[in-house]
Amino acid sequence: MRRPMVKVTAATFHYGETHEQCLRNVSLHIKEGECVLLCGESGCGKTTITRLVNGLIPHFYEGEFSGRVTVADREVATTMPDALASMVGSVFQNPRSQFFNLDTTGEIAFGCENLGLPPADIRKRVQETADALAIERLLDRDIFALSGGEKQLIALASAYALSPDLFVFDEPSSNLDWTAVGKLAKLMLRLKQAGKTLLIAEHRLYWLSELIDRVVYLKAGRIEGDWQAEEFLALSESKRMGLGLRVVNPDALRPSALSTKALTTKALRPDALCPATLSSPSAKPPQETRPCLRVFGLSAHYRRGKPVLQDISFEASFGEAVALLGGNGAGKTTLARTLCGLHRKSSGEITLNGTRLSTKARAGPFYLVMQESGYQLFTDSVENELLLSKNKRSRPPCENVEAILKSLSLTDLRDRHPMSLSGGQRQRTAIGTAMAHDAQVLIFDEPTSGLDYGNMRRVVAVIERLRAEGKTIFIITHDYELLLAACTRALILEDGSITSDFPLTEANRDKIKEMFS
Amino acid sequence: MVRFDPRVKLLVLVLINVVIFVSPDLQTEWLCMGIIAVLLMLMGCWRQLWYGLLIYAGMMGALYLCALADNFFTAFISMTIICFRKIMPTVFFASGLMATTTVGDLVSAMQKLHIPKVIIIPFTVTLRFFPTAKEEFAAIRDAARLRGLRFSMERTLVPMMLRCANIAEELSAASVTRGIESANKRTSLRELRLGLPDFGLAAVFFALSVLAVMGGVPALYAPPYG
Repeated sequence: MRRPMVKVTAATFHYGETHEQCLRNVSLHIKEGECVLLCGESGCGKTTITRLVNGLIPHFYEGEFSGRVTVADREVATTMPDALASMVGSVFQNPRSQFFNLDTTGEIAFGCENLGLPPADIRKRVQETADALAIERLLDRDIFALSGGEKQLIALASAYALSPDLFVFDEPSSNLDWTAVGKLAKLMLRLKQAGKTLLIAEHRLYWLSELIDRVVYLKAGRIEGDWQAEEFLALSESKRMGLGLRVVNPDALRPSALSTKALTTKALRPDALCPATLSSPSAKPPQETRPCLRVFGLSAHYRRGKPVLQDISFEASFGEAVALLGGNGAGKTTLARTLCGLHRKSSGEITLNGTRLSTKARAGPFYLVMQESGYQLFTDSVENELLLSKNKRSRPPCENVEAILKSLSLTDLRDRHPMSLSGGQRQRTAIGTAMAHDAQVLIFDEPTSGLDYGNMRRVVAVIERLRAEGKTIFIITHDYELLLAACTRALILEDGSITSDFPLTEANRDKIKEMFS
Repeated sequence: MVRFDPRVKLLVLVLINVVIFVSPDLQTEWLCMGIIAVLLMLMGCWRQLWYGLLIYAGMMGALYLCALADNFFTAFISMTIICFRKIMPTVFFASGLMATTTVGDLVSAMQKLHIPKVIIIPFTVTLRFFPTAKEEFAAIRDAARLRGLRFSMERTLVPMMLRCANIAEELSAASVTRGIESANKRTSLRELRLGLPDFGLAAVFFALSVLAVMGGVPALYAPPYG
């Protein structure tokens, strides 16, 4: 009989400032060596459970708590955080904000140094960690030069070096690309095989199907489902969507964006499409209305380096949603930045509606919705954000703002401070600013990272609406579910060149699947 | 390439300042620059060496030109250049120090010097924050450019502070789970031991300091500026 590792008994909690109950009478027992997935919509309380287990509640986050939480028969609330550090290893969502050293080896040793282990012992543990997790190649590197996925592996290694028996993961894959998620999954499997207990709170589920033993489903702070892995994996797709969960078996998905009626005839009317900012007296009226965006022979490079983009040529028309796919360093981000005028091209040309646009002129008609849309908001309310413009003349009319707020379901939030919004709401506000300034081409960088099923569908709906208005959409994404739901076409980049360009139809599904495996 | 103990490097940094401010004559400054140049060679910091010497030579050249045309304007320029030239030996050595010392080295040096944890930890996090702040700043500048907004304090610093506050909170939470609140005396992966080169280096700079206190290197030739 395996001993119980985690016992949460009748836990009720709400955070200090709010009065909303975050957890209501939750009881959960996890056996030693078990791998448990906590899932549910955003705000269901899964992160809160991970914090109860790793002691951040009550040692770091304050609030009203009742109930009892023990790890390996020790009460979490009365155990000192440094003792907990060697009992529970934690890996968090954001790989950028969980390391302290500038070099990887120092980071892996960080916890051991804090606990005051002898230096010889620390060196041994660092080496053992590198061996056990097979990350030897990551030792002695500059952390800021690592990819997000590699940073996440270092975070895991740093927790591992303290040799805890329990690992807690809070949305560890949110900021990672497809390959990095695969590597993380492999390491987590190693942990499981070594007999460690794993507790994982996560939205993206496909990568966990071989890892998990048990799935706990939360809704509004209560446990509303508790399945063995086989039972959970056997749930029907409609049941899964009903629970608001992301896809478990990606093979079951079908491309759907091509079949939607997003492309309306109205969208193809040229006068509806010519951006006001472009119609200077000298510019001739757009005669060639399709395609709308033409990129020809585009190359770009960074200072002191080989070209990142080489001779990129493609065309895109109104209402298209083009996925930009490719591995790390393939040039997707540089292409997006060059299109938006954030990066200078070294040769080639970019025309919109037949008008050639300089780097400076592209900021405006082209808009990038960043992965962290928090950066893109500058004012003190959602409404002011949409009204903000470089000068009075380019200020969007109030009726437009009203319509945009409505179409993005932001009307009720118009007076809220952008920083008080949820990630999804902030993202919609950023999209709103692009609409208010009549951007023609919108580029989304990982729009669904860390979003649950409901919010992912909301992004798809917004993209469909933008397409219907005749915008051209580009999406950089590692989200297979989003790709099939929202995109009509895929551009695949490799080493700075386009290697493949095809519509997302049922017939091309295998090509896409190849990209994602 | 010789690796020096970070504690000795910090000591040298202090001594260089002593030398320059105790003995402000040009000959001592040249001697000091010469020794630092050899030191950077030993440490293998070629890039820092060439840049440093080039900038220093540039300053000397500019001063010479200013001395040729003697008026109020050039005097003002000379004054400014001399101010910067005075800190050149320090900057010159510091560039080599930064290039050869990791944060881990510096932290273990501070621990060896019995500097308390309440100073060391914020110091580490501050150093780690510079690259983060740079990334955050670049992202906000991009966002502003996308909307054609010009740089303004309010529009840059407010989002920047909010973002950094966020990161700081996540960082603190992560540090608690890594046992940062432990009452044990913190140890370090790297063990520092003073070797012969360290004593040699310290001796050279002590000798130089004594020389500076005694009045510096006697003038063999008096340039019309300095």
